Amino acid sequence: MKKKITEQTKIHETNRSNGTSAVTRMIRSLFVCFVYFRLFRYLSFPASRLPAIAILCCATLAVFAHPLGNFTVNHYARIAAAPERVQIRYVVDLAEIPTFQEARLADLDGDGMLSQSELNAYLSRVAPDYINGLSLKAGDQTIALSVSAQSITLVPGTADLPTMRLVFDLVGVVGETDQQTRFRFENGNGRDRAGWYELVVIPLPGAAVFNSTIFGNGVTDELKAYPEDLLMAPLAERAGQWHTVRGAIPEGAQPLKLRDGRTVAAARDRFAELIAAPQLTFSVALLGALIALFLGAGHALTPGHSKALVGAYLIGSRGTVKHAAFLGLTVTITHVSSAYALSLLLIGFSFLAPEKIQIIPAIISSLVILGMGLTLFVRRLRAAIEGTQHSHHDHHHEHHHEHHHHDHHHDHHHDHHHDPGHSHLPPGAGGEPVTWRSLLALGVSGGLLPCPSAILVVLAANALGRDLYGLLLVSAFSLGLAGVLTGIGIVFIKAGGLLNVSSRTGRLGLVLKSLPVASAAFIAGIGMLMLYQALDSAGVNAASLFGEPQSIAEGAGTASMLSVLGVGLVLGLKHAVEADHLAAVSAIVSEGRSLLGSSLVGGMWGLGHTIALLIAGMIVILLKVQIPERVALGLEFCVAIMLIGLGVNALLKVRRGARLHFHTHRHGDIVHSHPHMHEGNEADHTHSEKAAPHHRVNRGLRPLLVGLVHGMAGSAALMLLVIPTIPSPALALVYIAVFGIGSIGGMMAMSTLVGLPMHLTAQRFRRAHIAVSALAALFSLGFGIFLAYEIGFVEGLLR
Amino acid sequence: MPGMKPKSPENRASFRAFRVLFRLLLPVLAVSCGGESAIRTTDGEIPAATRIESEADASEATIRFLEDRIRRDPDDFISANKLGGYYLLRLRETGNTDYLRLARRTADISLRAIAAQQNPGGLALLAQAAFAEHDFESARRCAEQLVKIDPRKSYPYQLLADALLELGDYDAAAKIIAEIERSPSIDDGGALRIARMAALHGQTARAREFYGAALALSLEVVPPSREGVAWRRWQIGELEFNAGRYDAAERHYRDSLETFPNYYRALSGLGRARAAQGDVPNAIEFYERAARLAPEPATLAALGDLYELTGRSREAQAQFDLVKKLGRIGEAAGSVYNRQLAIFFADHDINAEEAYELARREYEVRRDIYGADALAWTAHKAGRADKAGEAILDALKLGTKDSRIFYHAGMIARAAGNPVEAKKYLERALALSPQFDPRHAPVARQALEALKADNGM
Repeated sequence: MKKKITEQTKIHETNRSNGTSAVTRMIRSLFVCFVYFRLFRYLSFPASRLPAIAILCCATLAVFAHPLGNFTVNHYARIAAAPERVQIRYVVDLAEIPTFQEARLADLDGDGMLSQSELNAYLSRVAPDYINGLSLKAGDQTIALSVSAQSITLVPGTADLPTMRLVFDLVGVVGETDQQTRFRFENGNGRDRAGWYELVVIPLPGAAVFNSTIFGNGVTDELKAYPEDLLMAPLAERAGQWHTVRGAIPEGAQPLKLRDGRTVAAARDRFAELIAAPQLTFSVALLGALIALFLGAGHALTPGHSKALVGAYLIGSRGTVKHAAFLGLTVTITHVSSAYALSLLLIGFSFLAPEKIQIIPAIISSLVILGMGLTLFVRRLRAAIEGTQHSHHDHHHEHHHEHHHHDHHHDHHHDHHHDPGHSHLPPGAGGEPVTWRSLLALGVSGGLLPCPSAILVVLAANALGRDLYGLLLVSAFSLGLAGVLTGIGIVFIKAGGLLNVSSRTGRLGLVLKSLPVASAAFIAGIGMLMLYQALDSAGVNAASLFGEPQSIAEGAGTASMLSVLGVGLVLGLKHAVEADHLAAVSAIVSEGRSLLGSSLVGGMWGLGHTIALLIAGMIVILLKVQIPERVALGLEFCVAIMLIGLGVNALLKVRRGARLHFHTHRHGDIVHSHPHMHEGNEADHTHSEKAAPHHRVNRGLRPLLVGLVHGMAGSAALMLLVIPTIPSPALALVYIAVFGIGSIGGMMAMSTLVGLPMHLTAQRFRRAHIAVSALAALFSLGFGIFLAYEIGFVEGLLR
Repeated sequence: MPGMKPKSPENRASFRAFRVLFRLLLPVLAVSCGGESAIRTTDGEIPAATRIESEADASEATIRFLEDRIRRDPDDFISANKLGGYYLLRLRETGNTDYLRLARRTADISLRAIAAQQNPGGLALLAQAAFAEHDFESARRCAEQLVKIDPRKSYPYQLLADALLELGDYDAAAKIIAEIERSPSIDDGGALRIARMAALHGQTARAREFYGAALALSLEVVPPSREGVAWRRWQIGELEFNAGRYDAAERHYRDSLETFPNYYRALSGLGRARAAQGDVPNAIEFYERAARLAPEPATLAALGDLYELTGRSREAQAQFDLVKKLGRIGEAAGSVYNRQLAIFFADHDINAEEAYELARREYEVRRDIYGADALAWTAHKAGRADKAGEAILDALKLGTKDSRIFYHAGMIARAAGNPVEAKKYLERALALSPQFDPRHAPVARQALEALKADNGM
């Protein structure tokens, strides 16, 4: 029922240092392979999703072979039932010819093309007919079905003709109910069309289905893959009935069956049952908490939790028991608060479907993974390049590699503090250090996606007035979950200690060196796939993201809240990479900082941008004012001036012979070097504690200011266009925030990418670096002038 | 003697199988008890329409049951033959070609389990599937093989006659149909073939008589097949329409629809009949229903013509576009729509060369009179007068009474500078069925007026 969006990733960071033998490296690489294998299994993408992903990745059109001739209209309904509530996913799939016929009705402006807004208008027009065609009865009572989400997409079919896919998520609430409810469902749609009619019934968590005339599983994966080679006439399942009950099914009742005749295993949710203990005494509560603790521990062992990643991360890094404990704590706290946050949302907005709301944490944790993967990728690529470079030539005299224990490198401890929160842990011999930051990220992403049963417990506790007991149970459950993760972490730390013997470099070493880079890319890839899945289940059609951003936003206005938010996130991501933003950020980045600094620049920019948007959004929404066009143009002009300024500044630095140099510093035995530029000459540059501030000067402030200006400027108009289509002010503000998060993430990724060539060239070729920096500065300058001209003269601000 | 081998149990089982198959599932071939007498009693009198209750629910369960049987035991050729019959029935009911794929696959399963020699039911299924796929050459080969395996039964001859008629081998078909007619008892299937042959030769009364007989026979089967009865009524409607008796045609179409609600052929026929009687809005309604149920190119083109006639040109264009799209889908799927597409192009004066090419390629492998007519008409529109003149003679050779063919012949003769011939054919077309086509009957009339005016001068 709920898609599994899982496996928060962190692969261990293989060390490239002196410590390990070829054999242990091999063992490690095998372990890494094993971890990847597990990851792949856990991710468990439905095969049918792959074509969609192919569309996403290469924008090639996968032809969807319609099995039923080209003129069918096919219907699918999956009914998730509990005695008091029913959720229906209803899918209508129109083959090429009906799509063509309907397109005529949907194409309002008659241009022969269907924009997303036309599609949405069509959807809102036909939705009531489709919904009215469905009938759901509980006993004799007719249950009204309300739409919680709906979407419409075009899927490429044969002969370059599209097919149309409508998806409705419906909720029916039974008024008064006993423990047990008899339901009857009928799909009366499409009597005058040939087609495939499929029904599936499944129990909602904590409920059971019995005496059902409908099967418990489908055939076509929601009409995405029809059985091509099976001898099977189109299904004609239009109606059926079943019973649901809370808890176990009565004696002698027929359990729900699958299509192959097997019985659906009665999946009892023992955790959720705890909350319903008949009498609540102190000892019962204590016992309950104890059981919850064990259940949580057991739950952590089921697939889909990040224990492999935790292990992989800790074994690759030099972790201690203290880290493991910190990790466990983070997971617990995140899990509990996430479960409560989602439950509160569910209580507050009763129309939300639980499996829908889980998309928010899914998106966030996928972004965290993506960010971690990218950061690791960059760091390891750098490490690999340094390593290779070093083993071949020794020309880089400023660069001190740890293989050489000469002591002529200068140690700059001030650099330790160049990132607030980047406090290195006391390192040991070999291995990348564990950082609190990555531990936090790992823990948060591990706990962010709460198990459905935890939400169920919170909801049930609320309904039963047992809030404290619920909190106790959920906390105990989360603690158990975290305990297992921690325990696994400790085991890996101990095991890692044993493996961590000294080694030498060699041919195998080279291979092993590239492995971490690949692994980091892999993590980033998984993050992207998770993001895609999460967005997909939010109803955002990934394929359509290549279209006009505005029309997506427009379309989202009439669609569900979650897809609005999903779209906001994606638009934010996209928004970050617009030319004027990139120009400014690359100009700042070009002034030479560490990679971390680069991504920080991006993050600060995004933060500034978001703050400005929120302020502007609040003014627009709450005061119901419109930003006058002239003001918007003026703001945009400011952006142009700012771009010119940034470009000139960066150029001047390059011209003044700003020098690039490296600070090599050590953390115990680990030696890092960070390149950066200073104005003035070497003589002035004394690396003393006093001089430290010049390395930190406006690290955050300038990009923040630039972001603020960008946010205030006309690019905000994109977002403000969207806002009027969103019904409630609160939702609109949430939308802006999500949009901002997207822009922060997007810009961090972009600035890291922009910083990468700077960083790499800086270390190897000074000239090339200066050229790259100058290029970035010129880009900013040029684009600024272009923008100024456009706004000032073409748009007419200065005329 | 060949074919007189001692009967093995499988052999007997297979015979039983096909007997069951044809008795219950393929009313076209259902064995009649009445035989000759039934033919005589009807005397062209068409029995009144009755609603035949849908057997859909029953056969739905049966189809699932049989599918499951074959999944468990792929050697169960009896079930496969039965199931294939159901699939073909569904194909005829809905026009949904997916059932065709299934029927073809079922025939393969059946024949893989038991070879054709011992499995005439499977072979007959394959022949019918090939026929429905418009693979007439394969259908003919299968039917010929069937005739050898089962020379005493009538259905192999009927299937063979069907294939030969579609391939345009009228001499061979005539021999076989004469054979059928000579047999002491003519069953429903036999009567249908005689009627078909009569219609092709322009013997409308005889065709009506035998279609009526076939209908009466199909109603005697217990229970009667909804689709089978409706198809026969629709066929009689078509016959009446071509004879210009629009009210009678409409009555039969309505009877067909009464028998089988939402029968797309009947709806389309009603559209045609209403349009011929001048009730365009009603005609559009019927065509729209038919186009939703089964978007056949001819139906869509007719609907588009009516839209255009009433000034709804945007909707008309949408229908025409859809016909073109169907052509492209057909091409992508190996094409069965070429002829209809070619005629559509020629009727609407578009893509003349492509239309001619389509018709020519099809006529190379399938030399029936309608193929000749399509070739002549598209050649005429593509400006190939000699080719058109040659082909139209082929189309006229049987003496078929079809206004469209006469109309085409008249227009071709006129273009070839033969006003006497042209006048003769156009008059014949309009006399036979004055409103044979909402778009082209007026054209024919105008052309005839012009010819008369020229003559008068």
